[in-house]
Amino acid sequence: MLTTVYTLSKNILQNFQSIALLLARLIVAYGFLEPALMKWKDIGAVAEWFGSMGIPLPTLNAYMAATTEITGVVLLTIGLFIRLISIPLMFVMVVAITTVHLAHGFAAGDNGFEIPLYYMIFLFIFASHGAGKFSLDYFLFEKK
Amino acid sequence: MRLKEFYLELSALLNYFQSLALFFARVVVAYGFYKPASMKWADIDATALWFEQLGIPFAYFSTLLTASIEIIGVVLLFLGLFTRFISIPLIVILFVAIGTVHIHNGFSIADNGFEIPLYYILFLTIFASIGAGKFSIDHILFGKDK
Repeated sequence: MLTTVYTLSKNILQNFQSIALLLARLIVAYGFLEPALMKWKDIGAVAEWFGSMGIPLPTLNAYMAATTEITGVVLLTIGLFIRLISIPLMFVMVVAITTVHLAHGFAAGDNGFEIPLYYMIFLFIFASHGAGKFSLDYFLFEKK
Repeated sequence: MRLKEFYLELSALLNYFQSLALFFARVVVAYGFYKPASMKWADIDATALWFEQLGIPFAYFSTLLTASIEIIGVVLLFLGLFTRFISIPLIVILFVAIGTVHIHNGFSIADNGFEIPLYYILFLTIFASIGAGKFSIDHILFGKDK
């Protein structure tokens, strides 16, 4: 009985997988837009900031982070190479957590690692599940 | 063509991490609901009063219902039991939270905006539609028909 109900609801809810992934992709893309634009506006200042936090090769890394982020915004939105771009974006989040947020604890209100952690998990879901049907990946790589 | 082969290989490899990703997400969302749930249970009357001020109908009943769903949600999300079922009322609670509290504050968490409840809605939509993954009681109970 329980199994029947479960299977029935599963069959209905499964249809929403791609919508769920699309919405999550768009929101995560939006979330990366602001830090990406901030970095591109004054890359010199970002390099200086990176240097002050002890990140090696700060100028190169500032460009790498800013490039990864802005590329991420575009690719997450259109759903292209989503599994590929999710991995360096996760790496950017790990660096952001360890260099900036970890010292402030968990809560987002204290600038803690709560939000970057959520982003990391979203990206981990994208990397492992792909972009869903509403994506260029689906048309290029999965559609038969 | 090489690119396509490479991407399909990569996808096949990363597919192995699906259940791990869902497990992490479940634990983090369960943790996220723990604080508001225990806050409500710590003083149900005060929460009911707050709900009334927010204009939520049947404030006392709604408070008990919300607090119950939240604490059950913490347990079920953690265990991965009835994950798809519990995700739906939790989504409803978050929409009410956004509509009554957060929407006037805009998006950003810095202004107590709807950013975090929105992320939770997205996680729960993923749980409802994709399920709990293999590291779950759901998989033990209902996994066979996959």
